Amino acid sequence: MKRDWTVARLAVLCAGFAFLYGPIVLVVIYSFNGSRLVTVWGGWSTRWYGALFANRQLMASAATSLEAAIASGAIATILGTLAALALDRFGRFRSRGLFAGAIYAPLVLPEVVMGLALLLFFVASGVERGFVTLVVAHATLSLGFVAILVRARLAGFDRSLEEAASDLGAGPATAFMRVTLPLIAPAVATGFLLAVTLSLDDLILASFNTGPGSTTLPMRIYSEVRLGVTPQINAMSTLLIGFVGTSLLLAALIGRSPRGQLEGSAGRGARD
Amino acid sequence: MTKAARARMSLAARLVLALPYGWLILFFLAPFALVLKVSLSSSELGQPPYAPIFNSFDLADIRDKLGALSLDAYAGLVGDSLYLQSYVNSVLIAAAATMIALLVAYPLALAIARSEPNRRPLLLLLAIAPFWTSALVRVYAWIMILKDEGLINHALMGIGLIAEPLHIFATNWAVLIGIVYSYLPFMLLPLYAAIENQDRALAEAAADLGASPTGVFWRITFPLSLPGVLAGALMVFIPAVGEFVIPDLLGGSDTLMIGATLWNDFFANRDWPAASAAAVALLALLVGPLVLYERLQIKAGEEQR
Amino acid sequence: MSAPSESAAPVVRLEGVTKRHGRLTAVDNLSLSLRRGEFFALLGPSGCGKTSLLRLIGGFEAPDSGRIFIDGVDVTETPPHRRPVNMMFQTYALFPHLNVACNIGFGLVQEGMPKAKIKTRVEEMLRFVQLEGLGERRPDQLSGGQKQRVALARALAKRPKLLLLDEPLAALDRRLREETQFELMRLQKTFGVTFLVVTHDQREAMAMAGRIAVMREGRIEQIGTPEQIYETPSSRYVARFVGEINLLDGKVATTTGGRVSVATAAGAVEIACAAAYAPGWPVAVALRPERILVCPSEAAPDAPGLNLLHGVIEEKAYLGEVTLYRIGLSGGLALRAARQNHEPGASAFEPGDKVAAGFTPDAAIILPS
Ligand SMILES: Nc1ncnc2c1ncn2[C@@H]1O[C@H](COP(=O)(O)OP(=O)(O)O)[C@@H](O)[C@H]1O
Ligand SMILES: [Mg+2]
Repeated sequence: MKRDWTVARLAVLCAGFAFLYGPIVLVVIYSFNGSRLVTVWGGWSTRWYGALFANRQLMASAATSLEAAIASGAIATILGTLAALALDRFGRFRSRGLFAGAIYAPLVLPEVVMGLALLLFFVASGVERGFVTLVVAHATLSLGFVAILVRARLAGFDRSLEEAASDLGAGPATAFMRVTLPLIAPAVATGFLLAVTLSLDDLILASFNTGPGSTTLPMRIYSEVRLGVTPQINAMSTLLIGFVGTSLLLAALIGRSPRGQLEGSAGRGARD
Repeated sequence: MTKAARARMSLAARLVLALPYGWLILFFLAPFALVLKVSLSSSELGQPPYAPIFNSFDLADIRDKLGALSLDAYAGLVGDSLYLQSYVNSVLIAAAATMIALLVAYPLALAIARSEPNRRPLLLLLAIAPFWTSALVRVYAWIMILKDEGLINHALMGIGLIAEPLHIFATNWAVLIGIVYSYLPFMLLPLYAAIENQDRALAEAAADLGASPTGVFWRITFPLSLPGVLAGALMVFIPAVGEFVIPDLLGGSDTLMIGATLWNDFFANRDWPAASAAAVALLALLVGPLVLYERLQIKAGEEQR
Repeated sequence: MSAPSESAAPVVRLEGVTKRHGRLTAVDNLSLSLRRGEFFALLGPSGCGKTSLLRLIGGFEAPDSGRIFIDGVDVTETPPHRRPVNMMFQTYALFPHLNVACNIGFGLVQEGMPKAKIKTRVEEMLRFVQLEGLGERRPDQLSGGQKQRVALARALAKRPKLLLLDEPLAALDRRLREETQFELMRLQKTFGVTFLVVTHDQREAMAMAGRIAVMREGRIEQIGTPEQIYETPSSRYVARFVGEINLLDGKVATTTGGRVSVATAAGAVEIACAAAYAPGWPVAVALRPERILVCPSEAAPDAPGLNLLHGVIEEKAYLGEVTLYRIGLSGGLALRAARQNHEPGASAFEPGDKVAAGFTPDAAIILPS
C-alpha cells in the first residue's frame, strides 16, 4: 500500500515537471533548428543566434534592458531592505497597515493598472518619459519582492545577536553593518537578482513608462511575437533562459536555503 | 507607537522608514489618485489627451468644477456592452484559471511535501524555477505549441490521432492554459507551505482513529491547508483578472479581457480617460480580493515574528 | 474461541520484530506479549527504540522482519486505520481545526456511529477526563493538562483493545505529572483497556505499571513487575537504570550453602545467593543505598552475618525525607547510602566522620560483571 503512494507521488511529480519544463525545453530545442518553420526540423544550427547578434535594434534594446534592470534592481534592493527593516523592527507605527499594504500590493496588482497609474503621474508632474521613468517604475514594482525576501530572513534571525553586538560596544549603525547586514546578505543578494529578473522580464510597465529612445527587450520581443513565431525569438528566449538559469544557480549558491528565498520570491514569506 | 518611543527613534531609524515610505507614497499611492482624476476628465485630442477638471486644490475652484465633472468615461464603460462583456469575461476566465491551477498545483504540492525531507528543497526549487524565466518567453512557447500548425497538432496529426488540426490557439482555452502555466508557482508555494507545515502526527493520529488515506486527506490535510488554498487562489486570481499579455497573444479576437481593453484604449484609441475609468473599474472589482490578500500577507508577516 | 481462553491469550504478540532506520537498528529482533487488561510500561533511556516499537504496533511503520499479532490476528501488513489499537501521541496531535468534541468524536465518526450515539459517547468521555463543558473549545484554547486529557479521551473513545501512550506525561509539569499518573491508572481500571506506556522515567513506570520492560538499544533487557525489576535486576544495566544502586566489583571467594563470599577492594562481603559461582569468578555486588545502615565506626553493631565496610563520610546531602551520604571506602571504592530522616540520628553524620556501612546478606544481590 505504501508502495502505491510512492508510485502515485512519482507519477504526479513527473507529470508536473513535464508540464512545467516541456514548453521551455521546446523553445530551447527549436532555437537550434536549422529550418525557419517550427514543425520542420532542419537539423541543428546556430544560424538564428548569428542573426540575433547581427540585429542592431535588438542588441540596443537588450543593452537598455540590462542597464534599467541593474539600476532599478539596485534601487529596489536598497529601498526594499529598508522597508523590510522598518516592518520588522519598528513594531506598530501609525499607518503601518498602509505601509505594509503598499509594499505587498504591487506583487499581485495587475500591471496594466500600475503602468497606467505611474504614467499618469509622470505626465501630470511634467517628467519626460524615458530611461529614468522606466527605472523608477521597475524599482517600485520590485521593491515589494525584495522586502518580502529580506523580511523572511529577518524573521528567522536571532535578535539577541544584535543585542550582543551593542552589549560589546557597537552602536546601532555599527551593529547593523557588522552583524545584521552580513547575516541578511544572502536574502538581499537574492532580492537583487529577483529585482533584475523582474525588470528584464517586464513588458507592461515599460510600455507605459519608457520613452522612444529606451525601448526595452521585452517590448521588442512582444512586437516580434505579435507578428508570428520566428526562430530568432527562440534564440533570444534561450539566451534569456540561460541568463535566468545562471542567476538562479548563483542565488542557490549564495543562499544556503534556496527554499526560503524562492518561497518569498513568489510573494509569501518562508516560515521555517 | 507611544510618544516616548517616537522620541527615542533616532534619525537613522526615521530615515529607514521615510525612504521606502516616501517612495511608495510618491510612486505608488499618489499615481492612483491621478488615475481617479483622469478617469473623471473628458477625452481630448492633444498631449496629454485629456482635459483635466481639477487643476488646483483651491476649495472654491473644486466646488465650481464639481459640476463640470465628466462622467463620460464611466458612461462609456456602462453603455458599451463590449466593456461589460470584457469585465464578466475577465472574472470568469480568471476564476476558471484559478480553479484549474488549484487542481494542477495541489497534487504537485502534496507530492513534493510528502517526499523525503532532504529532497524537498530541490524539488521545490525545480518547481519554482520556471517562474524566474521571462513571462513573455513562456507565453511564446505556448504559441509555438498550440498554434494550428504548431507542435501539438503536428504531433497528433503525425500519429494519425486527428485528421484536422485542433483549434486551441486564439481561443479562451489557450488563454486558460497560458494563465495556469504562468501563475502555477504562485499557487504552488502557499499550498506547499500549508501542507508541509502540518505536523505529520496529525495525519497519523487520524489514521490511528480509523481514517483511511482518503479520509485523512479530506478530514485533516485538506482542511488544514485551506489558508494556503486561499492565499494561492488570491495570488492567481487578482493578477489574472487584469492580465494583458496572455489574452493578447494566446486569445482570439473574441477573447475580451479588461486588461487588454485598457491597453487598447490607451495605446490604440489614445482615450486616456476611458483607460483610466477601466483601471478604476478593475480596481473596484479587485478591492475585495485585494483587501483579503493584504490581510493574509500582513498576518503571515506578523506570524513570522 | 471460548471466553476464558480469550482472556488468557495475549492482546499483542510481537515475534522477532526488527526495524532499521538506515544503518541504525531501532528495534532489534524483539519479542513481547502483553496480557489482556494489564498496564504495561516500556522503560528505557532516550533513543533506545521505545517510540519506534510503539509506532510498529500502531502500524505507522512496517517492520523489516518479524510479525505482529493483535488478538491473535496477524496485523503486520495492516494499515493503522484498520488496527484495533489507538495511540496517544507524544505531542498529543490534536486536530487544530476541530473543537474538543469533534476531536474526541473523530474516530467514532470514522466508524460510522450514529450522531446521537457519538454525542452521548463524547459527553461520557468528557466526564471521564473531567472536561465537562469544554466540548466547544478549540485545542489552542486549552492548557497543557487539558490537551493531554483530550488526547487521552480521543484515543479511548473508540474503546480500543490496546492503548499506546508515548511519553504521556512528559509535557506536563511535575505536580500535574503526579496527579495524572493516578488519573491514568484510574482510567485504565475503568475501561479495562490494555495500556502500553512508553517512558524514560523509572519512577513513573514503577508507579503506574503492573509490568515493566526495560529496553536497551532496541532489545528488551528484562521484563517483570516493578518489584522484580527493582529488587532483582538481571543486569548491571537494569540495576543502574532503575533507581540508585551501588555496584562493588569483586571476585567470588567461596560459595557455601546459599551464601557467596565476594572479595572486593574494600573487604570481603557475604551475599545470599541461590546460584553457585565458581571461585575467582568476577562479579558485582549490587546494593541499594536505602539498604545500607550507617553507624559510627567505633559503635558498629556486632550482629552475626552482618557485612560491615569501614570508611569516611565524604559528602552529605540533606533532602528532606532522606539524607544522602557518600562514604569513601578503602581500595578507592565509594558507597552511596540513604537514611530516612524520621529515624533518629539519620542525619547526624558530617563529612570526615569515620563510619561503618552495614548491610545484611540478603540486602544485596550478585550480578555478573
Ligand atoms: N524516522 C527515523 N529515521 C532515522 N532514524 C530514526 C527515525 N526514527 C527513529 N530513529 C532513530 O532510532 C532510534 C530510536 O528512536 P526512538 O524509537 O524514537 O527512541 P525513543 O523513543 O526510545 O527515544 C534513535 O536513535 C533515533 O534517532
Ligand atoms: Mg520517543
